[in-house]
This record gives sequence, structure tokens and C-alpha cells, in this order.
Amino acid sequence: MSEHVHSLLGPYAVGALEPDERAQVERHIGACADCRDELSSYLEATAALADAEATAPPASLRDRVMAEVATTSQLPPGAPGTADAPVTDPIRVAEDYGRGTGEDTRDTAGTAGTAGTAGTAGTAGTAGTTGTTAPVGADTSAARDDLAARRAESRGPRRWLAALAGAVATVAVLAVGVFGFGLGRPSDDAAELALAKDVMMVEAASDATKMDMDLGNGQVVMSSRMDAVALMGNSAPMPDHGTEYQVWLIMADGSKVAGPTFMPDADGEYMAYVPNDLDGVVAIAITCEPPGGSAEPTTDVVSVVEL
Amino acid sequence: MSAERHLRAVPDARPDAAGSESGAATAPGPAPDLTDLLERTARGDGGAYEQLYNAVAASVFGLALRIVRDRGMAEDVSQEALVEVWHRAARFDREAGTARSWILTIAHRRAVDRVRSEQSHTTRMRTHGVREETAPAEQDLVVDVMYREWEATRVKAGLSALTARQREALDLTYFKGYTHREAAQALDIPLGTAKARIRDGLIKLRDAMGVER
Repeated sequence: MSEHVHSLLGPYAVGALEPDERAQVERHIGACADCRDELSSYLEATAALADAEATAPPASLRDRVMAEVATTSQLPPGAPGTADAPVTDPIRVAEDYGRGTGEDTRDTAGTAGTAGTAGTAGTAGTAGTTGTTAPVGADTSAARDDLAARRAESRGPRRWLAALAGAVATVAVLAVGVFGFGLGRPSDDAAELALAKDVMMVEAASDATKMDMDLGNGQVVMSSRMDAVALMGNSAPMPDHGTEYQVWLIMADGSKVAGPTFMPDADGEYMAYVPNDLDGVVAIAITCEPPGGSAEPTTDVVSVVEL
Repeated sequence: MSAERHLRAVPDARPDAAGSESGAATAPGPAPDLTDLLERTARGDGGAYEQLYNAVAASVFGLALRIVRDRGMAEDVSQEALVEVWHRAARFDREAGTARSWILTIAHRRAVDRVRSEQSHTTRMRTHGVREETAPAEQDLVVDVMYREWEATRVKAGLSALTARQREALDLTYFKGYTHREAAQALDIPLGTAKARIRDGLIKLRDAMGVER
């Protein structure tokens, strides 16, 4: 696992990770000084790339910034004693607020409060509701949706369809993702689309292998090229009351890597996507877990696919 | 050291000295101690913030412009990022990287978010390559100009150490906002290969430029 995270440091430094992978790296560097130093050196290289692009901004920018700063509060330092806070914070800065409006930065109470729990889905929701009216230079996209989701919405489908023209099955999966699935909340269309895109990419990979999975009519699709596993199916029963399905990667040494949770929609259709290095994975398992998932399986396996 | 950052040059004085510095082995002007400025900014020191602005605004704006390819949008992104630097200055941790990289990470993410959310891929492709030149009169600090040109030369030298494929991987991700998966798809290579190209490119760039740490 740590090797997997390590391989993400480069992509992290160039801002090329999906939010979940970004969070994975941030958790890791909070605890691993070697990776922190390595990432720091990569960030110096990317900073040099940025410096080489330096272009004098108009003087009016300075005026606008100084005027806004004059009315903008400042966050207090991170809570002392939280070892991971300072490390992840510079990164989380933009993670949590970068896609909000400029107004977010003025909301001291709100941002300070959410900063403590940065990185959770709950934080995202909070940030979105603390904004007020449209500030100067604010994003026109009001909601601070999942980044990948927004991108998928704005430019993803065309690009991916173009890139994968001819992959008929793939297109079908995307269409299902857009129109058919009811995963999560209704407002999560964009997130669903992003999920569909991820699943589609796994399915379209040249080395994709598929196996049936006994959860409704289910399939597991794996691609080492994409470092990912996708699950999809229909006619699945709902999980035990008050729980969600969670995916687990079972490693050769018996350890288990926690994957995402998912819920079938009213028709029993479901999809899940697990970005993870496949080396050493010997089985994929599904359990019922409390909403949000568990760090270790807490119930018996509902379904398992041995690789 | 940082006192020299206060020196505002007559705009017209900018030109030739900087050009003749190209290829120099050492940085021309004093590098401002951005860490100190950022930490003072965190304590509400407006003067320190203004110096910080002088030191990073051109890089922030240039990076934003390179990514969003629209001057007005780049100004908005820069404003958001620079105000965010003020707002979150106390959260900077010098153990996790330099002040400059912290600021540029904020600016990069703002710019990529913007381009991903507001511009379709085709729009970006259409505007690709359009880049407005800056009026010399707007460039205010001789030291900054010299530093930038020196840095650009240094980075150019660093980039020349990379393979074409490594450059391509960095360009797609850092400047065009592709995720590593998208880059792998676009280049039709395994994800692991894409990740390795990015990493190897950064390592070569870092080493070629003598970045420390």
C-alpha cells in the first residue's frame, strides 16, 4: 500500500490526482517523513516550472487583491499537537476552499471550523453553505462539487467518448451512468458521471479482465494498466438495514484494503470503483458495513471473487 | 536582504541588463526570504504581505495564464489565490515545503479547478497557444524581471534534460490539467508508466536545477 501511495507523489506534485487519491497522499505524508521530503522536492520542481511562466499582472490586480485582503480575516494557526495538520494543510488549503468562492475565504468561523475536519465529505458540504452572494471573481459554479465530478460534467463525456470511440460497450456503460443509476443522492449526477467514467476506463483498458460476481448479476473488472478494479451489476438485493455495501481487496498476506461503499439503486443496479495497485490482490470481497464504511470488515462476507 | 525588494525601479529601466544575465550560474538579485514574509503575513503584517505579493504575483499570474489561457480569468484566479494566501498564511508549515511552492500549489489548484469547471476541453484546445504579451511598463521590479529570466533559463535548461515523453507528461498534467489517468489514456500508456514519467521528469528537473532537499 505504501508503495502505491509513494507512486502517487509525482502525480500529486503536478496536481494530477483525483480527490480521493489526493486525500490518500495527504494522510500518508502526515505520517511519513521520507515521502514528505520527496514530495517537497517535487513541489520545488513544479514551482520552478511555474516561475518560468512568470508574467507581470496588471497593476489593477494588485489593487483588487489589496482591497480584498483589507476586508479578509485570517485563519488562526492549525490546532497545536495535531501532527498531520501542518503537513497536509498547505495542500488542503486549495483542496477545501480552492473550488469554493472567494467569499469562503472571508468566513472565518466557518472555515476555521471546517479546517479541523478537512478532507471529509462533511467538510465539503459545510464549505458550500457558508458562501454568500457572488463575490468579485467568484467561481460561477455555485456548488463546490467534487472536482472530478465537475470536470466530468463539463468536458468529460465528449473527451472520453472521443478517446474511446469504437468501444461500444464502454459507451453503454457511460450511458447507464448518466441516465440509469440512482447511486447516492439525486444531486450527485456529476459524481455519478465521474464514477461512470472511472468504471468505463477500467472496462475499456486493453488488459481488462472480467469475472462474474455473485451480487445480483455482477461483474468485477480489473486492469493493472489502470491500477483499478471496477464492480458493476444489477438485480442486487439491498444490504442489511442501516448498512452499505463495502468493497475489500484481500491481499496475499491476508490483509484487507478498504474500498469504497456503494448502494444499489431501486432497480438493484450498482457500480463501484477502487483505484488501487493490483499487485498482491488475491480476492475481491463485499461486506455490509455502517454508512461510510469501516477500516476493517465487521460483518461476514456477502460475496467474494477469487482472482 | 529583503530591503532590496522595496526598491521599485522606473519601469523603463527594466530591459537589457536582465537579458545579458541569461545563463548565469547564480541568481541575479537577492532571493527574498519568502518564508519570513509569509510567517509575518500570518501575523497580520500587511507590509510583509505586500512584499510577498511583489515576489510571487508574477509567477502566480503567469501560471494561471498558462493554464486557463484567458487573461481576465487568469486575473480572477490570481486574485482568489493571492487572497487565499493571506487568509491561510498561518497554516503554512515550513517543514512541508517552501513558501513559494505552498503559494504556487494554491494557485495551481485554483487555476486547474477553474479550467476544469468552466471551460470545455474543446474550448481550451481552441484557445491553446493564444497568449498575450505583457506590456513592459507593467513589469515593475528589475530584480523580479532578472530573477524571472534567470529562472526561465534555468528551467529551460532543466527541461532539456528530460526526454520528450517526460516533458509531454508534465505538460499534460501540470499545464493542461489532465489527471494522471487522463494522461495515460491520452498517451495510450499504462497508468504506471504515466506515473513513472511524471515522477522521473520531476526528479530530472529537480536535479538539473539543483533544487535542494
